[in-house]
Amino acid sequence: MEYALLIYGDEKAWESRDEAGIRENVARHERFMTLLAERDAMRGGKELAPSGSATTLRRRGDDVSVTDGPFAETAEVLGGFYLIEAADLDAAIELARELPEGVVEIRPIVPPRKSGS
Amino acid sequence: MTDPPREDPGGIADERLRLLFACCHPALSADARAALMLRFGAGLKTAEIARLFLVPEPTMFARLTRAKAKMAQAGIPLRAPSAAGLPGRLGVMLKVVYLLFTEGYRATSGPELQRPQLAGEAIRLGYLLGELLPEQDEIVALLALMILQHARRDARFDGEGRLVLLADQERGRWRHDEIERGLGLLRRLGPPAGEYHLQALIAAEHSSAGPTDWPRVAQLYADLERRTASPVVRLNRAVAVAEAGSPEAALSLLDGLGKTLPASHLVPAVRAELLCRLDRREEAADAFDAALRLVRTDAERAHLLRRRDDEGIR
Repeated sequence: MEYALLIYGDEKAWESRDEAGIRENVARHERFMTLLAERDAMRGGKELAPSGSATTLRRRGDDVSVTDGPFAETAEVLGGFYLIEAADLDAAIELARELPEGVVEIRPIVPPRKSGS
Repeated sequence: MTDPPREDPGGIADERLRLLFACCHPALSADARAALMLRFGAGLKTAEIARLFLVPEPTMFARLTRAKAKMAQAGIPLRAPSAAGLPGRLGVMLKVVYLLFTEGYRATSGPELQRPQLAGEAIRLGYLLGELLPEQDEIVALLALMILQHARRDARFDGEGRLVLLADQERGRWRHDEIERGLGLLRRLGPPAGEYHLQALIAAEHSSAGPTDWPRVAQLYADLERRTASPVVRLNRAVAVAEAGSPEAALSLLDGLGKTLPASHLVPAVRAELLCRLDRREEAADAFDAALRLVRTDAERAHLLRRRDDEGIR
């Protein structure tokens, strides 16, 4: 199965890290990616720019409004994600445990659907 | 607790055990785990589980359907945990069983004070787990605890459904064969290793034919509180300390508990009893009022009103 590992955290804490803190975090993510590669579990992943850079589109009927900011204004924001391959939820949890981040939401990926057309 | 599970390809081969571990997966909600255990562990029908949980059958049907969908979509495996993961996962499973039992032993809502069928189903699950995982002392300890508590079910309320406290219970209405069975299980265990074991030893003290050894009960609760840091344990410890002859020490153990357990009527109820003993009647009246505002079952409300009348407080 494929899973998304969605990394949530306190943006202020992320932004207040010093150079050494950022380097340490990057190194730990590199180790995590090496682990995924060793298990042939890496399917993708990216870090997201801060939520202040987000733009949200809302469609109501034919009307599309464009607003500044993320969809949900919450204390903990989505900061990045990995796509992984794992045999089952327990295997995904075991991998997610190795992530050096505070909150990781594990969501199964839905296999591609066919429209039938 | 130290023995690893028997070596076989899947860790623990039994298909039923795999299913039970899946039902108690930490990725499921607590409600879903309990319902799934009754469905697939105890083999109850949806309608029976709905009755035990006091919800309409369609509600329970929807809850089970959602839980099964989550198991399939999220990829919860039908697999027993690895030896390294076993203690944690077993802990979750035993907690599910004990929650079922306690809801049966002391119902938190509804007209009935206890629901013996639910407690009985929890004990059956305990036996099943004991058969499937025979090396696990924690299961034996939990089983002993449940059996010892359940053995007093006929004496815990009178003919009109009123709560009867331990000291006032008719010993003749205890199930002495079940108490023997519980004590027998306890004798199989070594020195107290876990929470269920300590609680079972406390239940064993309460099941003895003679007067309760309250200083020993207070000591067991102190050990349990060190292990759990649980405010409910502290509350019980306070009761034991009072019974052992130190109501003032007990009262100071209650300090701050009202804030930790703001919804529990038991904190002000115990405080009221302690204040009565210390003849601090005005404070006792306030505590009875606070308990009556919070109490949720009819039988426990009646008990509080009776106790207040007995003390001549209004």
